[in-house]
Amino acid sequence: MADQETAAAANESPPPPLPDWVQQVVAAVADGVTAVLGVEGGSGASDVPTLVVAPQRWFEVAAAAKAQGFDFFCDVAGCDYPERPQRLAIVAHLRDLDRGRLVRLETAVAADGELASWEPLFPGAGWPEREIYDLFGVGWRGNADLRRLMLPDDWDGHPLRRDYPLEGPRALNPDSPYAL
Amino acid sequence: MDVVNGGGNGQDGAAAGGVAGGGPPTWLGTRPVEGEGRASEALPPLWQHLPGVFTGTVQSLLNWARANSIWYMTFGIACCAIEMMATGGPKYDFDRFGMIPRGSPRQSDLMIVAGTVTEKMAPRIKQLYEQMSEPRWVLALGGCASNGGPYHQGYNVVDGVDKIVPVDIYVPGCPPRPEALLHGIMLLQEKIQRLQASAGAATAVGAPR
Repeated sequence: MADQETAAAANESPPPPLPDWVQQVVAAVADGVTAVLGVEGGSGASDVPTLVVAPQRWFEVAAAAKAQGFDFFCDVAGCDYPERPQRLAIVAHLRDLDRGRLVRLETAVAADGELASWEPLFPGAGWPEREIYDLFGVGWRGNADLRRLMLPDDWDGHPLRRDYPLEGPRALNPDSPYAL
Repeated sequence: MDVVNGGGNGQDGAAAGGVAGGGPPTWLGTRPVEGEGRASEALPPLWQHLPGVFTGTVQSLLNWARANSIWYMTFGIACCAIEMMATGGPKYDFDRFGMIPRGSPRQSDLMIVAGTVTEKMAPRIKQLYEQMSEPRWVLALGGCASNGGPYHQGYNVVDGVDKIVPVDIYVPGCPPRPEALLHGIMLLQEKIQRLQASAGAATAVGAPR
């Protein structure tokens, strides 16, 4: 404590340590977390404590967060940024109901990218992942039932991508049975 | 006020009821006394009407029965279904039209398409329509079911359920208030009253798709 006060007095305060649960997650998955936002000691600002996750470690980081008490799966959603090479951003939220904490996990994959499914960790993640597969075209390894959810099975394309024609599937495929 | 079949039927009723020499049973009402009481008491009692004869065509009787017992399929596919539920509830009271919700298309006369029809839902709607027994009617409730409504340009929205099944009544609104749905139901009743014997075939033909 005395060390911190003197450091602050000298205006050379070192960054405060990350919260304990973040340290535990980072320690559990060494190469999984590329940035920590929105917490004291993190590398950036965010409205919610956020872990930016390497896509190949998507499952392991979630498992480590679950081990830290974040055992309630809120949601997983997608967003398309066509100007980025990893254009499909995936955002998920986990909650720790016992301690009243919320964490956001973010990652991004390319247009034909794949992620590991969270279904073994959180059975409720299966259908949101199907929805993202349907509307954005992200594949989920390990999802037991990866079919389209909202759209018919023979649909062309993934309509929530920014470059999807507003007019509908017949703009992509003139033989599509679906209406313009 | 012995207007319809008055005395004769009174005698018949008395004989059938075994009431010797007296008036009709009290639960059937009593004969009005001339010049006394309110106007409603001067109406002929019920027993005078019981043996009355209806005349009409079978078709008009069928239409009368059908128009006053429209069983509708519970088929809410979007927010308009809330208005349909409100109309079916006690405040707006579908039941006074003889309308009750049915959970099966095979027992339903009317399909109220209450909501946005998506491309994925469209084949299910067509199948449910084909499972309904004839005569059958379809009411498109709200803008979405009528022509796509606010989702007219949506990539996954069928622009009106009439692209799949023939529609009898369109009720505009987003969503329509229960009064609008009741108006649509009354228009449908008028349409049913006008049915001719061959008209059932007209509602049975599916629109091309």
